[in-house]
Amino acid sequence: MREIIQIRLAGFGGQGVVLAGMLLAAAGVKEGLEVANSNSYGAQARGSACKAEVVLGKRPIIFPHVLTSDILIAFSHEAYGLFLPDMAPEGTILYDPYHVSPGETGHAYVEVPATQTALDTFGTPQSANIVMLGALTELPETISGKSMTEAVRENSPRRFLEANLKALALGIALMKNRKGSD
Amino acid sequence: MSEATTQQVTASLPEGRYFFSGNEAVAEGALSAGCRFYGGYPITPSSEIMERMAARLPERGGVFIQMEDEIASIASVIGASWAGAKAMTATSGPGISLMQEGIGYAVFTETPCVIVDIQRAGPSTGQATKVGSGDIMQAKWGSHGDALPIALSPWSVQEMFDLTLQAFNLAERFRVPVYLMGEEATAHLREGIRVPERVEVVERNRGPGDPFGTDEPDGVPPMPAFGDGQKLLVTGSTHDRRGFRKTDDPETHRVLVERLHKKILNHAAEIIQMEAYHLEDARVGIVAYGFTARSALFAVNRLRKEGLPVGLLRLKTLWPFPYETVEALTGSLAHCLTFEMNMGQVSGEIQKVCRCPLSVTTQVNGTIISPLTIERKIREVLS
Amino acid sequence: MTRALEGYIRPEITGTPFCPGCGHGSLMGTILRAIEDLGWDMDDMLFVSGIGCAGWIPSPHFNADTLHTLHGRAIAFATGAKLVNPDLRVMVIGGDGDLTSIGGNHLIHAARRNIDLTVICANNMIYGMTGGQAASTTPVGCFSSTTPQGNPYPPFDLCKLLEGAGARYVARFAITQPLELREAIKKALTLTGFTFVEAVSPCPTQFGRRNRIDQATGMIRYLQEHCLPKEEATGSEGPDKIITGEFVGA
Repeated sequence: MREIIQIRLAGFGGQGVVLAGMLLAAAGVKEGLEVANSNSYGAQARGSACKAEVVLGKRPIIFPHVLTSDILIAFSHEAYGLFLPDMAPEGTILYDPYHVSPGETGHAYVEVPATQTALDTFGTPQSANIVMLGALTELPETISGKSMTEAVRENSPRRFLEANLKALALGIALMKNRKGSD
Repeated sequence: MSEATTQQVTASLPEGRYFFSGNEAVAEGALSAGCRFYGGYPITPSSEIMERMAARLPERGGVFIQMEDEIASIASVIGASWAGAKAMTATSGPGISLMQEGIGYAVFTETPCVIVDIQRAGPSTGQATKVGSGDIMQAKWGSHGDALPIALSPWSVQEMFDLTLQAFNLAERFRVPVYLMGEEATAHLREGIRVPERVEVVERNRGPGDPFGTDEPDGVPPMPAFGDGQKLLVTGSTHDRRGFRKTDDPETHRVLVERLHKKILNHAAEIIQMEAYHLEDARVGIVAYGFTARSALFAVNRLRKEGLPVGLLRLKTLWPFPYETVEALTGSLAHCLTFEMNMGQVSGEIQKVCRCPLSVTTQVNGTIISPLTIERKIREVLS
Repeated sequence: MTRALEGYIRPEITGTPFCPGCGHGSLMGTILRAIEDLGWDMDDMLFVSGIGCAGWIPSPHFNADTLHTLHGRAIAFATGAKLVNPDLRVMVIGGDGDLTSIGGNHLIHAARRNIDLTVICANNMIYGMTGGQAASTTPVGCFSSTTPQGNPYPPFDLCKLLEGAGARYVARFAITQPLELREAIKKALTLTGFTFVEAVSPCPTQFGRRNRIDQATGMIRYLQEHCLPKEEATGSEGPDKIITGEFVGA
């Protein structure tokens, strides 16, 4: 892994953006990395714009927010447009095609049909955030699937644990299958 | 002479690395320090401290109570402290405003307590969920009369733990309210922190002796607790060394108010903490505190890689203010820069002793000051 | 010469600051006699008071731990001390303005939580120390330094207020009923939970003077004439009547 990786997750309130950021950071702690995780959101509990940031480092992180994102995880088209200008030129954008129609920007794009997968499997879009985290672990130089699984296991309420682990596995499988078919 | 004592005790959690928000770290720092009473009222962005204390304090034999408002919260904390417990509250700017009369009472009755202020963008209700750093002067001057509480400024989740612990130690050592001047950005930041196996904690000196006066140069009298059989007489009116009201005696008032200042100022070297980065050969120096100091250090490190002579003084203690250090530092600088999430509260203190040109950058839009802003300002000064 | 209740008063105390005709000295004696009757050790007791004439009843006089706090906040201070050390027997003594106006919120919430405190409210229907301003307990039509045309607002019925807030014990007696008052205070002290005794106390200096009851004896007579035991009340009394008795927890 590089010295520092800056990851931004963004969408609207209720999509589990903050939780996904927290789980990602917790997985970073599992890997022995320095982590910094912050959020911003409107005063309303649901529906407003929502952003989470995770900085992973091999050494103590001096500035804990994202300045240029190496990875953007876009849960909404609005968020995608908002945070595109802050992308590193060689950065990667994971997006959910259910909400996001990406443009031609020269970045690496990874389509993750997280919402559709969640709807097909659970009948609700609620686990899309965890599906997305599963997909993220399959990118090079990020968090391992093992650490992410541990983080999800430790931080899920009991009634959601089984569904969350399944969603995570589905996200990993989405990416593995794609690699197989490439 | 008996004094406050220092002991090594086990921390509130098993030794190890934890992934905490700043607010969670405050709660664990308090529990590790031996906090036994929390009285508080919910307010964004501090409420997670209260919620964690509600769950954790009873497990550790302490008492948690949600009071009816912030005025009652600080009052309950002072009552608890006199009953012998290490006690705290946490709030944000509007709550700090409501607590000021009580904090002044705590200063005057020399009641150890810890007040955590998770600062948000004010004045008034302001931007309740957004960051600010506008309570620095209120911590010093918010209560009527002359008061000198201690105020600490953490910059990381680790320091939310460490400085909360230190806040309790300073409060017990000097019998004074101690503020932890947190900021929303650090309170809601999550980082990995290390909790040590053992921590050093200070236990107050419970006497015997007069509770409100001493001939010792230390200036900190012993503090028995209610129920110790000392027939304590505690009052917010001017009082003699035993506690009897002396509201008509000019000398008693002068001796008391001056001692309350001296007991802090005479120990400034023991209290004041700061960190210097790249200042040995710096021509341009930044003075910063709290979250802003992280942005500043990031910018300074970047510019140092280009060989630019810049450095940073990070203040961990805001009150008592380190005037001497700032005066000496600015004597060796060509230019001093400050960056604050208020209209220049600490900059005013620096101005009092600054011996070089001072550039003040203020930002009061509810967002943190970016390293890029700081970098740009430094380049302007150097060009 | 040994004074009555000698051990209950700090040895340094040579007198009280109360005005001639003030009921607070009498109330002070009644409280201490109640404690003496119970045989309680003053070292087990904490007295908490706020600002105002009644705040001086325990502080500095009582020979025990005393905590003289801010205006209105005594109950909140007492709550913290009691929760940390439940072995302390905690009594809060304050005036009507202190406990029920500026401190009204703390009063009702401590009652709601049933914190184990005994609160004695010395009600003289006026702000005494600050110069005779209207209080939340001043009867309609009465004169004060801030109601020169007569008080237009009705007062709290403190006992009804505390009953509504959930107090464990609620009683009202005037200092002209010292035996009933002493028994009520004893009961309040011995019951566990939040207990409240309203002690109606005359203030000839500030209340009486402005309402044509100038003499100390006149205020005493006023209380004797206006107090009515609740057992004798029909419910159709005018607002000038002071209904006394135990209202909750009798």
